Amino acid sequence: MSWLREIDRWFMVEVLPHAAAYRARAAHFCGRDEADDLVQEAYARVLAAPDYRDIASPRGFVLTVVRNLALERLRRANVVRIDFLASLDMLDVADPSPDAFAVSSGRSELQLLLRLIEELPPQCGRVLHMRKIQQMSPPRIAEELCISLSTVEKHIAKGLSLITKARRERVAQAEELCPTVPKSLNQPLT
Amino acid sequence: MSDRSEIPEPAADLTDIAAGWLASLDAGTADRRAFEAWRAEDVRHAVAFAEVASTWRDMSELARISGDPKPAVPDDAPAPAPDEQPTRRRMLRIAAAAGAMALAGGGFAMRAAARNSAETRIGERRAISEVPGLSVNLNTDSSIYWKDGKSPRLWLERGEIGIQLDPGRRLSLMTPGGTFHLAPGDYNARLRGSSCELAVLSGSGTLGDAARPFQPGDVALATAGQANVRQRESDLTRITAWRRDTLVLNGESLDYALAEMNRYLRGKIVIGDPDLSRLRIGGTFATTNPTEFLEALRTSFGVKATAGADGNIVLTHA
Repeated sequence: MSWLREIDRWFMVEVLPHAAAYRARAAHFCGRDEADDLVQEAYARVLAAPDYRDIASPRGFVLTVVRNLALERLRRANVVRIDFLASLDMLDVADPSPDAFAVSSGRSELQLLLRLIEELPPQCGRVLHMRKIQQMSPPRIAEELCISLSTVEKHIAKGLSLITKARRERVAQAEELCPTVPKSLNQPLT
Repeated sequence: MSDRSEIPEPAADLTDIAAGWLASLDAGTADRRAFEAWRAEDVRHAVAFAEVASTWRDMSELARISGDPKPAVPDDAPAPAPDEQPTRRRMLRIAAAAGAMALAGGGFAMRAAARNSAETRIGERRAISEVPGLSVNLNTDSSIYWKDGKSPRLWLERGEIGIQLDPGRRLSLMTPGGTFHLAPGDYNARLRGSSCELAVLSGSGTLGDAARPFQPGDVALATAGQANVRQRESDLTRITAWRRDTLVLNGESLDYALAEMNRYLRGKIVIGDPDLSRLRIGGTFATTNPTEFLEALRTSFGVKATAGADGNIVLTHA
């Protein structure tokens, strides 16, 4: 994948595998509806960091960014419950250990990927299977399925997008298994 | 997931766009400068791209655990040796190499030898014996391709086929569920979604480079290179009944019976009263003409068949 910059490789190896932890932290502060948005914002901050090589614990760093962004958002809200903010500062949620989340990489992750490819629309799944599992080149897939190269690309793009989103959703489910603040504190703040 | 794809996404879904970039980079058709400009334009673009690239990288590991043979043509990526422990960093390097090679080797694939193909329409059945030592029967609505040569290969693209392989011959059967390597014998292969069900009537075969061969009577469902094998000798008559233009039912639900029967019919039979779907049907029916089947439903269960204007047939209580 020559199209990846060094920072992208670092991001993919050090940051993305802990997505479930970030999402749990974000949901803890801002509720589930805003969690994705918050995590994406944190990713953007991290991926724009010029000194990313100096970050000793990328996971811990992103968790801190998530927390700070969440506090910023809460403070910006029109009416903020003082008791909630105070409790956030004092609580300073302990970082759940990596084991508390499915850190993607293991065999179960691969099984999940296989299942997600299977569940794709048939031609889309077929093309992705030929490309990634049979390792056929896109022009060869086009030739063998008697479709144009651009159709192969469209199938690959669609499948890749659907699978990426499905994995993100799975992260959201994993987060529900993790402890959050009591319901009474987790109400939307208006 | 197919359901989800029908829900309209927000206009600028960054994941979709990023996946589009990656697919065209992978195919070697992307304008690199346009891509770099898009990625540099907004850090959220870079995030979306890294996320789809991460899925792409993880999928590269699937080739390693699947049973597919190492690719025969040089435009494909080298498969990592099975005894090495994969690490994320290492997989990353392999994925990078794969991408580079796919880009460099694109032109080669275009020069691959032409193949022969055959297909059947709905309700059609056809025998092909153009490769020495190999005869293939295509069931309704099926499509195959083949390449002759020292090690002949057959692609099952759609539907169902019977394969007879003469002594001394070998065949690689390529399916969306994985590649079967078949010894001389008689086989039935049917696609089920992106899986492929292979029934061994005689002979033996393996899926990918799996060590344990299938035996006669085995029915193997290959999904993404992994086989789920059951011994189903008693099912073989039912599985191959289509070769005699018949459908054999042993007390299956009407739902199942119709799904099977409709494979052969342009005008489909549909259930009008939901509770009819619980009926259990037994018997042997002609697939060439549904009249006999509908008559059996009428006499045995009092089910009325009404032809609709669209050519479909609706079943209701009489």
